[in-house]
Amino acid sequence: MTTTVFSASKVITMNPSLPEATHIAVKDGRILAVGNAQTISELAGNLGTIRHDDRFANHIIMPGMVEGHCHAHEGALWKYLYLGFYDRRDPEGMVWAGIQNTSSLQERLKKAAQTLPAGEPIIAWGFDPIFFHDEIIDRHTLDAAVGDRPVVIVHLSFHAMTINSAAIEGAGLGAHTNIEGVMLDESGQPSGSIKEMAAMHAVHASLGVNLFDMVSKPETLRRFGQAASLAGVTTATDLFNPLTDEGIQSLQTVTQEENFPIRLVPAMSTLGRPIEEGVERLASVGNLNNDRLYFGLAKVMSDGSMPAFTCRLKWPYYHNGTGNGAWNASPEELRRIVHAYHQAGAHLQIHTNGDEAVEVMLDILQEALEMWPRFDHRHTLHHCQITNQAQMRRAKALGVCMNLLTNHIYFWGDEHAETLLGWERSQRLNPAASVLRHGIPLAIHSDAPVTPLGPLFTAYVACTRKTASGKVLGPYERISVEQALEAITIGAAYTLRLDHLIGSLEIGKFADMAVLDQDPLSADPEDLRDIKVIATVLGGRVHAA
Amino acid sequence: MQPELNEGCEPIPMTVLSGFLGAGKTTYLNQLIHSRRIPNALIMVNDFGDINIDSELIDYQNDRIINLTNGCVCCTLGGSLAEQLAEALRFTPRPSAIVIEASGVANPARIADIARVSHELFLKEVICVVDASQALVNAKHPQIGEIWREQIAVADRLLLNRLVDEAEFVKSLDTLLNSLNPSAARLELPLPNGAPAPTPASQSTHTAPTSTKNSHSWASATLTLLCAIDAERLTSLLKNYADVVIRAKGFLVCGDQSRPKLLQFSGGQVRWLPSVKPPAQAQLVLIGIPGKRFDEACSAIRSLGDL
Repeated sequence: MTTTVFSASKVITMNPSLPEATHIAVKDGRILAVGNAQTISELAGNLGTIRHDDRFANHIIMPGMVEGHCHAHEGALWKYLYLGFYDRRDPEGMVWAGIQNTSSLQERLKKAAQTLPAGEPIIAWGFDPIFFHDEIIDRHTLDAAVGDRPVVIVHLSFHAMTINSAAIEGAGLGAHTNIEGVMLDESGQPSGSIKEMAAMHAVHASLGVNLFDMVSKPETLRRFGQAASLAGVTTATDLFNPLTDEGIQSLQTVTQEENFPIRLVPAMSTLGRPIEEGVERLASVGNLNNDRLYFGLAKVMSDGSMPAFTCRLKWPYYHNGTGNGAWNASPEELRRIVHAYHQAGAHLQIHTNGDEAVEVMLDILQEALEMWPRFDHRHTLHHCQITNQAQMRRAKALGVCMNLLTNHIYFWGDEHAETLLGWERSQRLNPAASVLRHGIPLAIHSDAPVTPLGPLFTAYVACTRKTASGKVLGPYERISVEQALEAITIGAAYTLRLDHLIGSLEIGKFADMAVLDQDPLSADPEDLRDIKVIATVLGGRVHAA
Repeated sequence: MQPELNEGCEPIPMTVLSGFLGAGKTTYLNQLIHSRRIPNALIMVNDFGDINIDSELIDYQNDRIINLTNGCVCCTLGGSLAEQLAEALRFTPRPSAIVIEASGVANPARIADIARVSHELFLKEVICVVDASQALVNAKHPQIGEIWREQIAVADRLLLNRLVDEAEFVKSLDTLLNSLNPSAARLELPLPNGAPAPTPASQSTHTAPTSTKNSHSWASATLTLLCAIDAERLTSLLKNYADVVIRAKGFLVCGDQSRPKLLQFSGGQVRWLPSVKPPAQAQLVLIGIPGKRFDEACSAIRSLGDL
């Protein structure tokens, strides 16, 4: 096999023994050597032919980024119309402008109607009414844009919808004005705002198709891979995968396609299946791994989401007086699940948004670890949005890792400070600096498709803690660019137990790289979000971004 | 858009079965299926624990079971109960009845609303299975009390399981249930044959022997088992010594099976699970009450694994 040498104006290795270099030699998909022109040329004597690839000679190479918490749904949603508040890039690289007022929303719906056959419903996603404050988006708003067919806008929370009159009529909701979840306007008519299961069911039933059943399809995984690669990511999780037979087959197929640009790490959902069957399934897929597919993670859901008011919080609960949120499973069920999977040797990834959820899961993990000690388990708590100092001290003592939902500081930070948590608790929102101070292994994430996939943006948020309105939320929890880069590479790799293979550029590891147009380490943290990803390299193979 | 094909069809009766994990929902479901009172039924199961519908009871020609995967919708995105039920109603032939086993932490009223909205369904009843022995604790539980009380409050019928046979207890339970839902019909479920008489739960039933709570008072032993062991003999030994062995765990190779299994023993129950990662060595850890009898248990078990 030929050896290829990539040169760059600077190689950031994330390897503390050799933090910087200018050349990387790659053989058989792995890193053969990292060094400078001179040290690399010394290889020639031993290896024969060396091919020089200097197309990145004026760029920066860093380790391919690792997204430790995102979902392959990112690849499925783009089948529908995007109506999110912020600009967002689709997997094909096209940027969709954010919808920030009523008229642009109506304009985009009108345009979509023109491209669809007569009568075919418009289905849209990404909309979040929390950003529209006093501006009312109701069925009249939608009717004014599109009246000749149903319009169904699924909110970004996926807990609610806004629909037009044609959709209300189609779902038969006009006649049921006393149903919880069908919101009424001042005249007692349905406003078009739909919440709760029953009303959402009526809408789903009237559409006659499943909106989001694409997750197990190879096509979805391919688009997901493409979206990740565009953002500089070379390893991404799918953190709530049902691991159906069809889904496993798709994962195997796609990860063995020559030009698939990322390594995939699915976490099996432990919900909705008997414990023993789940453990058996996780055990049986272990030998299906390949270089681009890694099974072994098990996902546990404890509570809900912050902006949907469904997190389990400690006293005094939500800032605006809303009571406490909901468990996804009772603490007793969670205890059974965690104990069984822990004992069976699984690597747990645990969703804990609110601080009560963190506390309960730490109790359960402590019990499991005292009963059945396991070194280096790397069980990871995810989101941990307002975890407190005492909890972090416990997490450290228990060897638990934390993966923070850092992007929320930007996208919902203002709402957290004003409505959800209040000023003081918002200071410790996703407290990256504290996590590091306590010596807890840290990763930071996007939770895509909830927020856009893009680790450099996530790093920008972790370093500046700026909200969408430009306010700094919790300056004491800012981290340095170096720390942020670690969290999106080797830090995240550690929480996935892949740090021996990916996350830094060192001899023997996979040749996975992200190529950038600027050096993040010498850039102002403010500019991190503007750094462009030129290409990614996976196992030595170049994928242009 | 209104589905015309079901115009004129009889609405399907829908029953919502709620209750906490371990309350006895699955046992009740099995009895319901066994009784053949609802042939051609669609049963939607939503629980995280040990779903164990007796598969031999299901006639796949007629009855169907769907496992719901209703996690937090914001993270699972698709696959919500609302959407899965919509899909199920498109099956042909249409089911004659639908039973939805609600998640232990769901409010069944929200699920019942589905039948109130839909033209294709009508709500037959909301049943709540209650583990009576746990009721007084659950009602005041800081983390689950609220949803537990809600489940009781919205039910049409309460099925009381494991009722404690003590006048004082029955009185407190009645007071509690009357305050939450005076109008629901109440029915006591019979105890299975040979089951021990239930006792009222105390606050600390599930507490493990942790280091913060008198760890010095527990004995533990690690046994290395050199050869494949007889799973049945180990099971019966553990049960014999359940008075002194509180917990046991080990990765073991049993008899004729090639892949190692994980043994878990707690609360007098033995469970064998497949092991995700094969261990380097077959080992069994025992935790229990120190004394001669615990040592005796250890040596008896050790002898199972001697070459």
